Amino acid sequence: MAEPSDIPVSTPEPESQQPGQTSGEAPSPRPSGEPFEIAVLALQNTTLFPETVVPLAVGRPRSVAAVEAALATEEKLLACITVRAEVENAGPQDAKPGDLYQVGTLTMIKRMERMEETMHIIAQGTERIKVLEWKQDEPHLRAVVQILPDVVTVDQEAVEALKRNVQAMIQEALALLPGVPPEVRVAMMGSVEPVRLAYFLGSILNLGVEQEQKMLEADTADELLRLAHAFLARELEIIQLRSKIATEAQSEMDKSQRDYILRQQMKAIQKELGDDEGGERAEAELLRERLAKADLPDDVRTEAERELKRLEKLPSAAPDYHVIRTYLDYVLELPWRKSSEDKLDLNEARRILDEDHYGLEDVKERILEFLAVIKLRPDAKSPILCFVGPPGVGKTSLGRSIARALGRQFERMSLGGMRDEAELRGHRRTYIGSMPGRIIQSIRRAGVNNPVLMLDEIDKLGNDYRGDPSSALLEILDPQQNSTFRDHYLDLPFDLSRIFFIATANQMGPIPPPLRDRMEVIGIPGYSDMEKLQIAKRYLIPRQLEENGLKPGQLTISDATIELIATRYTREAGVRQL
Amino acid sequence: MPNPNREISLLTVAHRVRPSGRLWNPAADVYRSKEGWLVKVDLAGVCVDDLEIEIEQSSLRVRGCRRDTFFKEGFSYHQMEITYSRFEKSIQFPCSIEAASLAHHYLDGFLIVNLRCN
Repeated sequence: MAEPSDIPVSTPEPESQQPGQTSGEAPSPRPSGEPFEIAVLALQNTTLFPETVVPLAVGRPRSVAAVEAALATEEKLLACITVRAEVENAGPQDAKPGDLYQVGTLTMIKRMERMEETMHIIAQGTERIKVLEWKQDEPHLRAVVQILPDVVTVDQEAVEALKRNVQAMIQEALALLPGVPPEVRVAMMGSVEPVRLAYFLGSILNLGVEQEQKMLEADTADELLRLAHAFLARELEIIQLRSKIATEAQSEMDKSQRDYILRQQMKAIQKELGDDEGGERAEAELLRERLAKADLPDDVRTEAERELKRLEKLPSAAPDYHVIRTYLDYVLELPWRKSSEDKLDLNEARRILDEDHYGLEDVKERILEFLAVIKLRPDAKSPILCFVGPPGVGKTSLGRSIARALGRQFERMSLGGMRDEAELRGHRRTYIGSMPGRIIQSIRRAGVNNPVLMLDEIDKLGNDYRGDPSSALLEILDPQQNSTFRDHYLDLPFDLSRIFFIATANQMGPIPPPLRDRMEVIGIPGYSDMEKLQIAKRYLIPRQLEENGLKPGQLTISDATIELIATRYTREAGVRQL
Repeated sequence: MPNPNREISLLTVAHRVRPSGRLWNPAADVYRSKEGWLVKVDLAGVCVDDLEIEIEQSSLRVRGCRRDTFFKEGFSYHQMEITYSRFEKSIQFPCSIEAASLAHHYLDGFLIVNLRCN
């Protein structure tokens, strides 16, 4: 509501003069060509076409002033002229008259509503106008304009053909654009006048100021329709491309979404079934983690990774799945490179041996000799001892003492009655319920690759049609071969050469000669009566007292009694019965 | 011309822009009477000098211009809902009215056009 002097003085004059001159016969249609002065509203980024109704929000002071000036006229007329494309991005400052195009649209303001600072107007474009002369640019633009003659049709058929083509394209575009209101469809598809259709397209296609201006400045319907046709064709292509992209993205998303939902459902089902250990995926992941951390020889790692890859491809319900999983578990748990440090203090070893066993001087000496050799050459092959002696002389416990003296893990396995070679070497993995052999199992239990492994009762190995375990032992106990021992189950070479094998036997007779050759046989004779007395006094009686909860002094047994029991009652080589 | 919002243009702009004629059309009722036709046009505030009524075969055309004569110096618009400027109303009749006699007058703000067919 700016210029009080401006509005009443200047505006009504040209407005009222125009009809005044023509009111004699036809008051309403303004004759084209008669110049008149009018307020100008500069439009940015948009073009108002004749024969279209557009809502506009007017906020800038100069624009508001222009609208106010137009409202002050009797006919509420305004000229809408677009700012040139090349200056439209120059900044928010108001455009100079020179920044505007020469051709614009005469506009009638149908409605106006104020909302705080902005005016919302509904403008109806009526005719094209041409600026003849700029009158002022403050407080709002004013210009002397002339109404341009109506768009003329040169070639009626060509225009009609173009119009039909345009309508066909609109039909295509509308099929891809579900959001277009029905009345717009009707307006565009009905028997519309070609020029009006072109103008309407120009205003809804958002072509950019330059092209819109081209359409506005077109003097013939032919040109106008051609432009509209070209622009719409390009627009249609974009819409089709967009729709295609959207469809593709949609279908891609649908697929991944479907996968996700199915996976979630599967998880839920697994949970319901109670086997939700984070799923097979997590299990494989866990194994992979362990594999990365495990200290494995290269060939073992290659094999394990291959198996793991197979595992990852299998569903957890597959029968092979658990076979591979157990196998990998085994491979990962075996101490491929883990060994315990030997503590090779001969004096300490002697002390431990003496502490655990009385007498047996020859045996202890032989053991200490072995230890001395190991100390001199730590990488030497471990010896394979064989204790032969009557029952109860302490063969087994001597082995335990050796392990203690060496500071190694002790594992014991009894070979008594073993008849199947597979028990030592394991079963092939193709068998259901296959397991590695006892040797590998013992090593796994020991957790190191250099334990003291006691093979008890080697003389009582069975032998039948299923195989000969003693033949398997030949490989295991041969220091030349056992560095690449292949268990059937693992099917990987494992180094047994660092294991301290100790075999025990009661007689040498049943042991096959090739096996006997591989071992250092140490005979443990029975104890003498004197030794039995000492053993009873030092080890057996204190142990019995402790086990029976008696305090020292509550029971005394004289040496004579012990001797009597040993010679007359138990009558054995060892001291087990005693 | 780069246009980031091009793809939404047809959806959003189409909601706002409407095709229109060049002029506005006032509402009109048409009565059939024993004598002929009575046309009532919602056209208040139009000076008779600015009014033109024509008959062409079976159609009646009312044209003119509504001007706002209330605006004075010191006024400013707060709200405008009445449409001014040029208007045109064409009414089609089922038969030719070329021969009818034409009379018009204002009644309570309505323009009454009386067509008397003999």
